[in-house]
Amino acid sequence: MNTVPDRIKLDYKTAVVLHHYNYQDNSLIVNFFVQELGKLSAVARGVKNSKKGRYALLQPFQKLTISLSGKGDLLTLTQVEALLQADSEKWNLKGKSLYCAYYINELLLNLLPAHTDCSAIFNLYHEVLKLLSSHIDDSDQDNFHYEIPLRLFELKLLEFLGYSLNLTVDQSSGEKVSADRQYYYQLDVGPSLQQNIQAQALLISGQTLLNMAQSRFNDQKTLHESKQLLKWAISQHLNKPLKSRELFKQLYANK
Amino acid sequence: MSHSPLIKQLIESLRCLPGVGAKSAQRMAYHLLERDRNGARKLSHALFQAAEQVGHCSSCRILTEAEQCDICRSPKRDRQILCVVESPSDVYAIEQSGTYSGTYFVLMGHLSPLDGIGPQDLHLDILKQRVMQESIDEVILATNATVEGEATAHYIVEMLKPQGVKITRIAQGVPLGGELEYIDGSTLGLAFSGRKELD
Repeated sequence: MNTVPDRIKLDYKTAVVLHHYNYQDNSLIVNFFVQELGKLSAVARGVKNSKKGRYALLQPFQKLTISLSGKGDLLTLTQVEALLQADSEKWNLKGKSLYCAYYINELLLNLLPAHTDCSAIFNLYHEVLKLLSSHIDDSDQDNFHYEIPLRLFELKLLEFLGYSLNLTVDQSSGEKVSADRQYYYQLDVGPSLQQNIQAQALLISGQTLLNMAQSRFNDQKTLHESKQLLKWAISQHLNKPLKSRELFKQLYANK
Repeated sequence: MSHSPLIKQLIESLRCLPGVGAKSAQRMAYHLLERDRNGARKLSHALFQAAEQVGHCSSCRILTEAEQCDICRSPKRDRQILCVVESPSDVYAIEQSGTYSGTYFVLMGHLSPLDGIGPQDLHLDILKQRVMQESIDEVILATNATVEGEATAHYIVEMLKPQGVKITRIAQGVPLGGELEYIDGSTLGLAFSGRKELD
């Protein structure tokens, strides 16, 4: 017997716009990050010539309350309003922080599950974007202010998705990672003092691993090594290279 | 009854126009064939010529069949001001307003990191070259007030800063005849942050 697919009706959900595409003449297809439901896509009909400014609301990085209805993977947007918030909570993404935020959105577009409660990562997303928007000075040479929130987000996103990295136990001996040793890190198993020639491994210091385990990215070496490790770990779960990363490289290659 | 192959082909081709679905395409095709054969010939000739000959202006990249467009060739235009816009329709909108007499640069799009549209797709190297070679005093960034428009404006600022040229961005805020109570919060916020002193 055929079952009729259930119609979904979602009212007044807190969400953020990750990305949108033009659809027909006046409509958009919007990818939302909904707090309680993860990534959802919806058609926003006739918003481009809407006199109520709905097109402005559906820009990326807008905090909204939305109502959706429909069935299947593509829902219909029935209501959208800006989320009322204090000035201190507003994001002010400009320059480099904007490109970093684009990178985070692309990660989420690729990795975020649908119809799953993602409140933990949603709250982290808010925190990270707030951190990014508090540094709008592009002359900042050391990149600390951009890199720390990004590494934190990557690490926590992997944990959330169930791909946690083993950062504390030497997988060959079973002992705790020591801060003053160098380890060969294999993605599926973790750090090891012995090199396995057959497997691909990244040389990384014990101190970096321990710092990462405590989400501390406060020095240049930890940032540099953790970036390599996290980039590698994330690339395992992506089907294609991230476009925002390539663009960021092009934009800031000479700086 | 199905259409004959030629009519079918015509209907399918008409559907490439924006806002034209199967029904409208069929109406257009039958109108041209039943009532306006001359119009149809004229249309096909015009379409063919335009598709073959129209290219981009060598200095502002707007669509034109000449090497340079009318605006770029006109001696009346102020060559010290350059306005950067996203699309040819933006140029016509600004021209309609009659308030601008400088030249343009048309990007034919905007940077979009998530769609992989980068600086080379917008021919920003040509823009940089123009700023370096011509004696331009001011570059006005009139990209759209969208997140992508802002990202594009920011990139152009970074690119042109070393050239020492004055870079401005068009103002954002309350539209003419706009009543404050109906304006969305973000626009009103921008209007407040960009307020100016009255003399």
